[in-house]
Amino acid sequence: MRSLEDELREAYRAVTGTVREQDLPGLYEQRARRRRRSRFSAFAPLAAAAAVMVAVGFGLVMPELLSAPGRPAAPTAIPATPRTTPPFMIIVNTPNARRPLVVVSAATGRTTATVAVPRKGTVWFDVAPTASGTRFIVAATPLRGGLCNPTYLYMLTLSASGVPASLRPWTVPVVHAEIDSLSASADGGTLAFVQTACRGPDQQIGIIRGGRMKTWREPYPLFADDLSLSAGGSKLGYAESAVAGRGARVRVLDTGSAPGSATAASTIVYTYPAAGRAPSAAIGPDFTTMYVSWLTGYVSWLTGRDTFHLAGYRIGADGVQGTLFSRTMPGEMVSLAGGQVLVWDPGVSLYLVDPVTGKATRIRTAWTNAWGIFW
Amino acid sequence: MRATTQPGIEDLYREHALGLVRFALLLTGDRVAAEDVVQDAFLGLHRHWDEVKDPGRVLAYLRTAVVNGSRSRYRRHLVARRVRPEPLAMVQSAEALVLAGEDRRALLAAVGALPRRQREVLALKYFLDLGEQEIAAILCISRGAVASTASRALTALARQMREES
Repeated sequence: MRSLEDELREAYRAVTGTVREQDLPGLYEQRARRRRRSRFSAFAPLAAAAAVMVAVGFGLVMPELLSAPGRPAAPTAIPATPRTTPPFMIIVNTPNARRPLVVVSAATGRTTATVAVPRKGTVWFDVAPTASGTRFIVAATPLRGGLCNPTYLYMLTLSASGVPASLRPWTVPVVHAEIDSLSASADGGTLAFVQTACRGPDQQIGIIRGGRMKTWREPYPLFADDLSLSAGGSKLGYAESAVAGRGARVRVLDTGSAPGSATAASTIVYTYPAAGRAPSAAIGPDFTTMYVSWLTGYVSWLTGRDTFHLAGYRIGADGVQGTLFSRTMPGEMVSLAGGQVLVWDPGVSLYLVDPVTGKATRIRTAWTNAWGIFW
Repeated sequence: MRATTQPGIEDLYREHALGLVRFALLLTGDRVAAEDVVQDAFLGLHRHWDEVKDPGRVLAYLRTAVVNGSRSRYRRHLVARRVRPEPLAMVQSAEALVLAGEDRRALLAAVGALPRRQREVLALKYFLDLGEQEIAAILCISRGAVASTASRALTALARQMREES
């Protein structure tokens, strides 16, 4: 008769046998997948109809209504955000590889410039676009070291042709912590960030405005991600992780409030379904529309059994005021690209989603496997 | 004269990543989280590579890092930003359950319900087949605590399995 110990060994072997050597990603490949980002500050830099620009000028777009198990909700009377997209994407490749930033024209899909990191030993890792569409706050951090590493901030300004006109230290050139999830105000004068625990378990949500930093504490085990700063920098939306007993939430923090608890300084505008995992959120610069996504099903990036849910809402001071659409589609995270919703399925596809109808268009781009896409 | 070299971080990854991911899977119950935890363990090693004085301790360091990383996966958004596994995710994993077979479901469910330290000790003892001294070093507890924790865990499992049957 087998002992309990033997049964336990066999059970462990059976469970762990699902992990096979040939399926493991490379040492650096996995880091790239993990820290991928896509974010856009959601301002329309060009009044031109960039939807047309993307569909025609891109030359890489395949208009395609995705097959979606869930039919998009009927459009409401809510006015659509102008369907514009900024002129340039900033691509960050695997930081470990010390590769430069790549500037890509959204109109042609071609690379217009690359930008080397100015400080030796550092790597690019995050970008916060501004409303202009040609100015970006870009962040670099030392490759070696840890979460206590400094973050070096620069303002990258592009010419109309997508060539760097300048790369200068930002208003606050160094933050003495590794900050992440950057989001900029319309003019690029205010920057929001999260600071992952360096010493101690708690996370900080912060803004830098007028050269001064202010932070709010997100107590362990909560943590914030997907920051969306309003055009003027007075509001900061973020997705807050789920904890035992309740699902993840979207909160809006008043950046004029006193430093202290992020929970006390913010209000809940949305609660994700309890069964939802991997919450992602993006709020428009005027804070009247919000797009959320989450996954359900078994987590498996190899087998792709997850179901990606995407929903758009009209929001106000009291939270959700109306539903724009709700659907399922391929994807992993949501952000905004001008007036349109950007859904990224890393390594697979990039989609632009109509902010009112939820209709998705797949973008044929060479950069779906990038580490970070900032548009 | 040919210089001798120590194995590089990539060599260590090739040699130990599979076993560590499998170990992390038992602790986290989630495949993606397990890979991320192991990735962070290697990156942590990479950062302190110049400080490694005893290469023979590297694997122990990695195992400790995997245990710590699995514990803190909720608070390190860089580790598991896109993954929010439930505490009992291991027994909720459809793929794992199917492959484990019907007979083992109850046992895995019972393991998943154990306190964290008991699950860690069981995985270190019955998956990695480590001795009490090694387990004690990894978990930073006494050898006696390892023995008592393992004993309590097995007792709880046996009780649970009796109730199931």
